[in-house]
Amino acid sequence: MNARTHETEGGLGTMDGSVTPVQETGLAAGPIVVEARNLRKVFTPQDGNPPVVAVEDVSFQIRRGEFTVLLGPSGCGKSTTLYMIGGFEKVSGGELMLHGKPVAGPGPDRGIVFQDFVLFPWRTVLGNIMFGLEMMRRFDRAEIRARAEHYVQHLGLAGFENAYPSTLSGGMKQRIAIARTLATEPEFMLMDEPFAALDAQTRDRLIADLSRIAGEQNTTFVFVTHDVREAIRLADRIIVFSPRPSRVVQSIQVTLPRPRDSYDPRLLEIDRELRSLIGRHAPDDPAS
Amino acid sequence: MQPAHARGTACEPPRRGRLAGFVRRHSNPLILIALLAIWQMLVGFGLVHNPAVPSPTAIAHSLWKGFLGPHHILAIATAATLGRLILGFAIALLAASALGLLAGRNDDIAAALNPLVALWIPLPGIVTIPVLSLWLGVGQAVIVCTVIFSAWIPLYLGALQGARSVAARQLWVARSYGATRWSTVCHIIVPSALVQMLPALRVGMGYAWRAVIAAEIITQHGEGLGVTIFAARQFFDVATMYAGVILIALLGLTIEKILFPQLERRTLKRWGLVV
Repeated sequence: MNARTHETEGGLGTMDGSVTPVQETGLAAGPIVVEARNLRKVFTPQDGNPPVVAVEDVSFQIRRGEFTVLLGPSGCGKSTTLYMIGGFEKVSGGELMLHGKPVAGPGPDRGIVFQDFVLFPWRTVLGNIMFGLEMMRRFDRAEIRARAEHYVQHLGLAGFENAYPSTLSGGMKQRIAIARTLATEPEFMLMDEPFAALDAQTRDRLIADLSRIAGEQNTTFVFVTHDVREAIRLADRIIVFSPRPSRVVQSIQVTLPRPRDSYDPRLLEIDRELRSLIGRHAPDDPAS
Repeated sequence: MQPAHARGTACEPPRRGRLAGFVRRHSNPLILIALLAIWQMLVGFGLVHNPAVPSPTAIAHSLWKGFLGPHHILAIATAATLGRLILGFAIALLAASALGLLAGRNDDIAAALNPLVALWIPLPGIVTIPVLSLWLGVGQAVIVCTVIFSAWIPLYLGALQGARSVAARQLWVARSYGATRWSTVCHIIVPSALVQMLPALRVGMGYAWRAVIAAEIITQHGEGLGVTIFAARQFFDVATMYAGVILIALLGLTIEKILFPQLERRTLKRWGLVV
């Protein structure tokens, strides 16, 4: 593996998933907050069918405050990995450390956003955003409302507070889900292909908005996608998964200045490099 | 093959007069009015001369007298019947929903309840009357229990299916915020189970309504519409008997066509869970 780092800002620095410290990036590299070592996930169906290996052997690190993207083709186990970080799925083998301790179940420190929004249709926009704060039982009613209203503004949902989600577009629904998760100010934002179900224009605006929000927020984002361009526009670091059996191919640092433009030649160059990297690890069968 | 626009015009209904349109829009009440008019004429002109067949106006007079007359017979009977219905239905709803939601979230509980439910489904609720009257004596309790035992099966099955269909990831979201078990039930499981529970409520209410009238007719206990129509028959107050029957139909219709659609409009439709 070629372990190399670019000295110049706006370039592409790569390292092969090892413990090599990040160098000359212009970013203050935070301490490691999530570490996967030979992580493995096997699903054993109840009906006696053979077990399915979702995550084969995955090792990577996530640093505090970094926008980390898990990039890979569908079926490579990146979402399962995210769910294990969230504590929703149990680890089958290897280690998954959160602040040096094994992940033990979900917690309010890790908020999650799904591709298909997973809103509560019986709650209004404001009701959905207040949900997490209500469940945490840490704030009084007035504070919950004030916080939720802040994130209504922040995500561009003003005027829709009392609407029910079913009456809104996919882009608006995902804004609600992001606001609901941000409202509790979690340490981690776990996002599972959040823009994959949206049309191109909506996705473009949400990427721009998320990039801005991520810059303002003191939050570590872990973002799963199969879209290379989306990954480069958002990420400080891209962890590239290979198709099954899933492994981490490379951990790449992206240091382009923000806001990033899809047509920036430097971005396109990283895009090309990443695609060839993924291509090299694609299975031989062209049908898959 | 014709072009689409040509077929479109061909499908348009032929133009008719204003009267025909009015008749079509209001066919249900118009048919009822027509039938009542024929009935009234048959009795009024003496074509049907049988004391068992009163005229619609005589029945209407009985209805009027039953509510506003000196004894308020039908008003008292209606209140008594609705009281039993609501009490029995509320108990059935609470108990069956609790059981159904538990069973929907826990397969062992579902398996334990399954034989009881399977045996109970073909059982008409009114078979509880002879059994329970042996223990409790004929009285209010037997009628209320008949309602409970008639209504609980659909309510249980609705809650069971509803609880089973809760989206796993909605529960993930709740868990990630440390939601208590009770909060999860109130804020996630019950509202999402409502998609299956609301139609079940409608079916259960239909069973309960039939059960309360049947139980009143059989037990002849206290006041009630079932008691009144049977007593009116004994005293050959045929108009009051028919008035009671019509009242039962109208109340059932109100519950079915007004109460439940309202409930649905304020919940599932508003949330976009049904169209």
